[in-house]
Amino acid sequence: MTGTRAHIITEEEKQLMTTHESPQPDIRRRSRRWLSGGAVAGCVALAIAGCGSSGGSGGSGGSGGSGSSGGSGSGKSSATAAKLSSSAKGTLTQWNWNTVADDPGDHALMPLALKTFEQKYPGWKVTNTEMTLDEQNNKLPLALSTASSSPGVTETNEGYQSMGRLVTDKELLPLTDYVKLYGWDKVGDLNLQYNSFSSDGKYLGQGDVYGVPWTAAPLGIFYNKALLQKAGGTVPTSWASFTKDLALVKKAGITPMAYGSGQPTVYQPLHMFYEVADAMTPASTSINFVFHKGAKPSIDVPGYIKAATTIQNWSKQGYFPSGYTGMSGSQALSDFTSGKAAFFIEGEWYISSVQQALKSKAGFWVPPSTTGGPGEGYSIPTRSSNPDAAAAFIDIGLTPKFQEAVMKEGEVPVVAPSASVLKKFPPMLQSATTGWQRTVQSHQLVPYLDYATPNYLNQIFASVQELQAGKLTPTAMIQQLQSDYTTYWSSK
Amino acid sequence: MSTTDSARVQPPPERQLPTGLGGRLARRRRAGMTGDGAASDTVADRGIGMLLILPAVALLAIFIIYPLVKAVGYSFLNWDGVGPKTSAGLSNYTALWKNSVERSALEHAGILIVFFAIIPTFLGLVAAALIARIPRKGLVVYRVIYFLPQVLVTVVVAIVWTWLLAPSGGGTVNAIINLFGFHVHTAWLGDFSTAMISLGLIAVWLDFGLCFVLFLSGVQRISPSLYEAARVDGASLFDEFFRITVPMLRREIGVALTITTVASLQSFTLIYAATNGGPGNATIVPGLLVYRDAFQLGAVGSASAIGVALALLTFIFTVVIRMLLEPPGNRRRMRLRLRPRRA
Repeated sequence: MTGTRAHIITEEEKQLMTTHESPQPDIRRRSRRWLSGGAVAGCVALAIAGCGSSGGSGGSGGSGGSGSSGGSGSGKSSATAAKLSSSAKGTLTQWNWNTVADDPGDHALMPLALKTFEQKYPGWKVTNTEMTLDEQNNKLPLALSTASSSPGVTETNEGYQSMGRLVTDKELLPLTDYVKLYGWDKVGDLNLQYNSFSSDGKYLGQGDVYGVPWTAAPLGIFYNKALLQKAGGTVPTSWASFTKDLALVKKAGITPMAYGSGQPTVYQPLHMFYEVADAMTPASTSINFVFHKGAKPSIDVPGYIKAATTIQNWSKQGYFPSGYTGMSGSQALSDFTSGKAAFFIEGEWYISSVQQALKSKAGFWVPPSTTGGPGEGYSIPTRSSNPDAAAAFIDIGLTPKFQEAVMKEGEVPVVAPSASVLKKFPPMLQSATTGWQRTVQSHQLVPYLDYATPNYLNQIFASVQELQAGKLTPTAMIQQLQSDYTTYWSSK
Repeated sequence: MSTTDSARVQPPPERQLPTGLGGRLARRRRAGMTGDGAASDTVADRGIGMLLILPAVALLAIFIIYPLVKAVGYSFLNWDGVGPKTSAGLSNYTALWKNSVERSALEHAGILIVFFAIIPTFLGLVAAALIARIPRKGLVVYRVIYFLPQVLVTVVVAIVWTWLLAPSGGGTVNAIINLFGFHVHTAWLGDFSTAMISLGLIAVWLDFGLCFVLFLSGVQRISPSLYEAARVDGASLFDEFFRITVPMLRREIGVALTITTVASLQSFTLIYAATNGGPGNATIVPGLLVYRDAFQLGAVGSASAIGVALALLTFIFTVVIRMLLEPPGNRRRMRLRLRPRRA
């Protein structure tokens, strides 16, 4: 992927852009998703960009090869799923993309996973192969097509373009039996759904589970207690109290919301839209919409239109900083961390930067219904040398000891920690963790709306901008999004 | 361009030749085959000739023609780049007109030609003409300064300009305007009404230097005696510009317009980094759609269709530019670009 994108943007340029865009690597935890989407198509785009011969034939050769060999190897070997006996011996090859640059948190965690596994199963060795996400996305489809090149266990990237493709080519093992065996459903329905596909790879969120995540990441609302106090507001506990605060803060002459929708910004307008919509729409509506379930999945419902109206009103009332259309996502973050705005709607992954800057002045509130998603899952390739060992390794990441280590790295664990463990961590990480558990258990956690179609990220981003500029009415915006969705699914 | 002008400036002997197919053949024979040291028409010589052009032809075929043919093929498919291919008929092409986003991308490409090509060419001409009138000291300095944007990596340019055009902050365009007592807080690249024009002005800044340097080298070859003679005849500044400078620089104008037009139709990096097509779809361009379709959406068919349409447009524009700038008799000369301009 890096190589292919270089046709349009050179490596150094890309470097410049990423550093500019995301001063701290954590932000990329979510952005990986669509980067990887590009990676898969990347080898093909070569053909268009001008190096057609290698890209074109490589791509088709890959799918052809995996298709034919995949047919024979696709038998459900998970039918014999068993726990790994502690006396067994062997070597497990393990691939991940936790390079220091891409994901310092997970990078720091991996040695612990290896050590714990090797202690529990003394006869086993685990090799650790780290690569960049791009590298892995290019390698996986071909590597998983033969037993000799396939890793025993590998990290995979959720979504149609990466995991969906591997499922289509029958390169991943359905984990259903292992989920039962180890009780992995403790990570919550939605997190397994994120990693589920119909057996043809066409429907995300349905069918068997193909990956199990170790970490979680909810969206929420950061607030500045000092500014709230100054304005006579209270710490938000409900959507009503939050909107009341917004008005109070505005009246006190403080910018209510740190926000930027200019370039380079990838997610903030979308994330704000999701949080508002979650407050006004039943979670099941959005869940069915993203996973394309039910007779006529639709967001053309009063809740979404009300959400769009709310955002348009906020823009009119001056709840955003002046010139927000020309400000980037990182400028919005720095506006909040420097105490220039009272609220900041974004993902849990900003907690460490906010903590550093504002200390105890800042808080993080996860609304009753919120959008969020798990970290990348671990999967067992169909041609894994030992699926049982792979499953045993995956299970290590879900043990209480490892999950506590996840929190030490400032990340939200996917399994609920005990109260005594929770207490050890800073308040913001505590609220993110309990907020995550609460929404998962009450089925109020909503998947990212932009997972619904490949082009939704671009479409929602553009329409929120048009909405805020008054170029689009709330009704027209939602109807347009709905029709984009219908068009996509009717052609699929 | 009137015939009298061109005749005064450069009387090409070919002008006298008959036109039409027979004339063209005759012209070719006279120019190439029967000229001094021209290759004679034996089989052996031809073989060597073929051999000599083989590497160039092979490279061209592998890196340009083959991908082009492939892309045309892909453009009639529904294909995610990996899975099974199904025929799409013309639907990828009709979508270009039907989908509002694709349509506005094409419109924006048209607008960008004005900023990428026409304005820089015009400004470059004026600047070169002015410089031609003054003593040529310190020319190198001007050349370096104006050409600098061309040397910079486009992403750097884009990032620097997003800072300059930010709504507030020290050193921004707004801050400079506000020094004079205004209160401007426009987000130039984020506002629907200003984003396209702001991008356009960055493009002007970017391409002006290229045009200027091209024209400057041309202007330096115009004999000062032409201007002197014109002045003796009572020509005004305007006359000098339109009747000497512009006609004499016709070839450079052609080159500048072609390069910048192609660049504007293919523009991607600047827009990707500065606005990513936003706000809304106010600055979306075909290059960005190709990238999104191919890299993000796995829609190789429609990406190819946009690419092919873009290639066609580029071809048409290039031909039009040449037809506009080259009177029929001169076209062959333009094609060869070998002979010095004046005896």
